Amino acid sequence: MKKILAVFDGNHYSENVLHFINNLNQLSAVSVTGIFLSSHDYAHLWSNPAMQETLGSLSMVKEELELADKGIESNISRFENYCLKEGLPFRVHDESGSEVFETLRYETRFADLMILSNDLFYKNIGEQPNEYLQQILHASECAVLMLPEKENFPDHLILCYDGSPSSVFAIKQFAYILPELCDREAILLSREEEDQIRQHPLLEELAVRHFPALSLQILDKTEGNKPFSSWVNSRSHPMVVAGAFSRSGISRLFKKSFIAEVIKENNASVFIAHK
Amino acid sequence: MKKILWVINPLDFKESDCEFPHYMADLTEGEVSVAFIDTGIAEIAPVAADSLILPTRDYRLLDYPVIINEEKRAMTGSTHALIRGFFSARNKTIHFHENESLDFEDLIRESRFADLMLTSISLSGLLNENHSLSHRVKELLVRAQCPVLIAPENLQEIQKIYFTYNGSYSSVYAIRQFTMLFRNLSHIPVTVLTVLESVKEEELPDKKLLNEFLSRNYKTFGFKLLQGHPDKELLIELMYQRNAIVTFGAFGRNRVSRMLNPSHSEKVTEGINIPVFITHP
Repeated sequence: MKKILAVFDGNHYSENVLHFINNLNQLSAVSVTGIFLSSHDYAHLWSNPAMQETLGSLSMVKEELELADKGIESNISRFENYCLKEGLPFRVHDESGSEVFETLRYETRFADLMILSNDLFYKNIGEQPNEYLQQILHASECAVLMLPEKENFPDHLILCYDGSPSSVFAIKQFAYILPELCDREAILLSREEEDQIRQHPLLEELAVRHFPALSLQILDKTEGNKPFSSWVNSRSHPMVVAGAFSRSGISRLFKKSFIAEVIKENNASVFIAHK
Repeated sequence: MKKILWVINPLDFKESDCEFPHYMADLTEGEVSVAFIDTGIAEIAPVAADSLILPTRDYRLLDYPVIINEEKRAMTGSTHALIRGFFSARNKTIHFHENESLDFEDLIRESRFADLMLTSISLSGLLNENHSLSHRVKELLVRAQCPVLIAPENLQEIQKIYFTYNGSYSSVYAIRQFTMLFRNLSHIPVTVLTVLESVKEEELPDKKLLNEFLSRNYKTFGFKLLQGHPDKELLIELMYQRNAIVTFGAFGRNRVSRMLNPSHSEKVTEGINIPVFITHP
């Protein structure tokens, strides 16, 4: 049975995260642990001087903190009621405090997947992927799935390959963690200048074993990030699978990559795995 | 369907070596893909042990004369036929790498696109009476980009699972990867082995989280806390085990760490005769 962490911030409750988990449970049994990050965690972020410029006015932030604290209890109730109603095994992570990243790290160490809303997650502190989201991804020791808030269970996959070991790692991890989604149409996508996929019969051999409905697509080398993210977001209910060079490469992933644009446009689910 | 990359020295092979990979393919619901190592990289074993009278000598591999090359080719062909015959007789698909042999860097690249690499404790094909990990296998364990399974000397059906655990991400990573690859083993009893300086149950790090993970994935599991030096305690615990498999989460991440802290998994691996599953983040 898979263990899934559903992470919410104090202010925002994502219905779509739970609908997704429930849909997944119909395909393969899961248990869900709800993690509700409190205002203490937010304050911890505020104490980082580098963040203060990003976060803006202190008085505005303090109001948000108070609202967040009130919101958490209500969100926990909604979460519990939903899980009980749908018959989802669940628990609520009951620690809070300033050690949020360490706590989250330990939870993810023993989990198969962490899911959060890429629209709602601390949306007030900046455009996604904001610094907080990036830090959470950095701390995670399991794969992460970011969902747009509008409800959509993926009906096809976009497996991103850029010639790096990490992109292959992510494709493998997706197949191990979410095998029930592997029968969907899968597009193995390369953006390299040369036709790297055709120079890598190994990748095709691996991918076709796990994704029986596989097709290949090469993006024109002249296209920048924007056209690619627009292409992804124009498709119906895609799930993008991408890697990162390492946990320390998360920020590089977002700075250099089309993934940031995809998340920003908020139409596609994004699965990220790193070692 | 998973890809199991089976790395073989074609000059040191017998038909019974096929039994364990065949068994693994069944367990993982995967297919075996054979890669012959370039025997030019085989290690040289010293002819004589260190001694004042007969000092150790190293023999270098030079360019092979034509006759030796022909013999190698014949033996490789024979190995190829043995493997094909074995799997064909059992209606099992087997693939062979398009290259006649692979060098070390090729193997690492291949591992990136494999789900599991299977090898023996030594790929040298030469004297290995001490049952020690060859230099090349050690390098593979460090650099492989997929989990590595070291096969035992003979086929053993898995009836017990041992997870070595020290609270680290690496040890949990190995347990998770094993669980994902071997989902058909959820009914097999699991023992989590931890070596602590003092044996107190409450000192097992993150026991609640580990307990929860195990209960979701395995029907029966337990914890065994050992006291003492990890190498010695794990070796004592595992050396007489059969029909079991053990996981390790790290294998000397780099040369420096290995020098300072010789990997426990290395010493234990050399002393036991059960399959060893090693991977690291």
